[in-house]
Amino acid sequence: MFRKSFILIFGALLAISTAKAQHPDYPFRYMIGFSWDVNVPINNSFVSKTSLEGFEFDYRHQLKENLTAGFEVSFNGFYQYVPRQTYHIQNGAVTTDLYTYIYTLPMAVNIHHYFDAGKHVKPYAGLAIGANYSEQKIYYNTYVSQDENWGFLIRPEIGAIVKPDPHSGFGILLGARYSYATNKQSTFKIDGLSNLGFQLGFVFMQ
Amino acid sequence: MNRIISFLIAGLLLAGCYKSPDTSQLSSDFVVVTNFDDKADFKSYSTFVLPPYVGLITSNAADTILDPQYGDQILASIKTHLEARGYNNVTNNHQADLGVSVTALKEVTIVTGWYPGSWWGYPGWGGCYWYYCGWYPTYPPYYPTYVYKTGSLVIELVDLKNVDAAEQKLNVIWTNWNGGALGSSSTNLQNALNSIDQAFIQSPYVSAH
Repeated sequence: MFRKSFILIFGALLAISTAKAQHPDYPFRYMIGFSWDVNVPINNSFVSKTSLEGFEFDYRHQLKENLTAGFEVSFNGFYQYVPRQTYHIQNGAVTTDLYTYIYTLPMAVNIHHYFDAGKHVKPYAGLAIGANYSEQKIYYNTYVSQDENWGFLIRPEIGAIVKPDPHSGFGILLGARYSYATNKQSTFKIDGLSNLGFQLGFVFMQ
Repeated sequence: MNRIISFLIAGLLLAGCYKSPDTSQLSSDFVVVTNFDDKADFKSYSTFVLPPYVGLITSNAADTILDPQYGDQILASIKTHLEARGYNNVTNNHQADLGVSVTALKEVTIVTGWYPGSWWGYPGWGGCYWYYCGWYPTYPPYYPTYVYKTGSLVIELVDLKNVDAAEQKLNVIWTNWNGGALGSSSTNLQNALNSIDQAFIQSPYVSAH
C-alpha cells in the first residue's frame, strides 16, 4: 500500500514537473525532494532490525551557487519480533514473546554544499540539525507498553543528485547519512537513537 | 501553486504512513510475571495450605468461585509444584507456614487502576483468609502495578509464620500474575496450567531446601 501510493504520487509530480518550460541547470531557486528512507539501527538493543518503512520530504533553497539551506522531515517505522523468553526484572521475572516498535519523526534544518562533477551529477555534502520525536512500544499478548520522547538530532549527510536531462528540473536523489538523536527511555534501555540511513528518491528543481 | 500541491501531497504521505506492526504473530500464551520479596527466606517455611476453591472476579458480582472442574486442576498443579520444592501440604490453617491465594480475574472493567492486593476482600469472596479475619495484605514497596484487561490468574504465597499482629498485616512473599487474551474454557485452562509451570521454572528460589 505504501509503495503503490508512492509510485502514484511520483507519477503525478513528474507530470507536473515536466510540463514546465525548460530552464538552465543552475541557479535554481529551490528544490523539493521525496525519497524512500531506509535506516539501519546502530547499537540499539530495543530494535536492531533494519527499517524499510521510511519516507522523507526535503526542501532546499539556493543561497548562492553550490550552497543551499533548507529543511527535511521524515518518518520511520522500526519493528522486530522477539520469540518467547524470560526477562529478569527487579525481584522477579517476565516470560512472553513480544514485538518492539520504534516510530521516529525527525525534523531538521539543513545546509548542503554541492560539488561540480559534470552536467548530469551533482554530489553534495551537508549537515542537518533538529529534533527527533519518537514513540517506542512493546506489544505482548493483548497488551502494549509505550512511551514517547523528544531528542536533539544531528545528521551529517552526503549524496548526489543525478539529472538524466541536464536541462530539466527533475533529478534522482541518492543519499547516505548518519543520524544521532538523544532520545532516552530507561525502561526500554534506550540511550540515544543512532542510524545509518540511505535515501533513494526524486527532486524537482525550480 | 505547484509548490502548494507538492507540500500537500508530502503532508498526506507523511500522515498516512504511520503504521503498527502486524501483531497477529504474537503468541496467545499467557504472559507470566513473578515477583518476590527479597527479604523473605523461602527455606524457612515447611508447610503450606491451599484454598478450597479458586476465587473468581468478573464484572458479574454473582461470580465468586471458578468452576471446580477447572479450579481443582489449577490447585492440583500448584500443590504438585510446591511439594516438588520441598513444602508439605497441610489441611489445617493453624499448622501452615504459607497460605496460598489463587484468584482468576475475567473481563473486569478497570475504573481507578489495579494495584497488588486489590483482588483481596472482593465482595462475595468474604473477608477471612485462613484464620485471619479482617487482616490486609501488605507488599514490598517496589512491586509494580498491573492493569488487568482480559483474563488473569493470580497466585500468591502469604507468610503465615511471621505475622504482623500489631498492624494486622499478612506479608505476601511471592506473586505470580499470568494474563492474556482469553479463548475457550479448555484453552484458558491449558494456558493457566502452562503458566503455572513456567512461573515455578522462573522462580527457583521458591524452595524449602
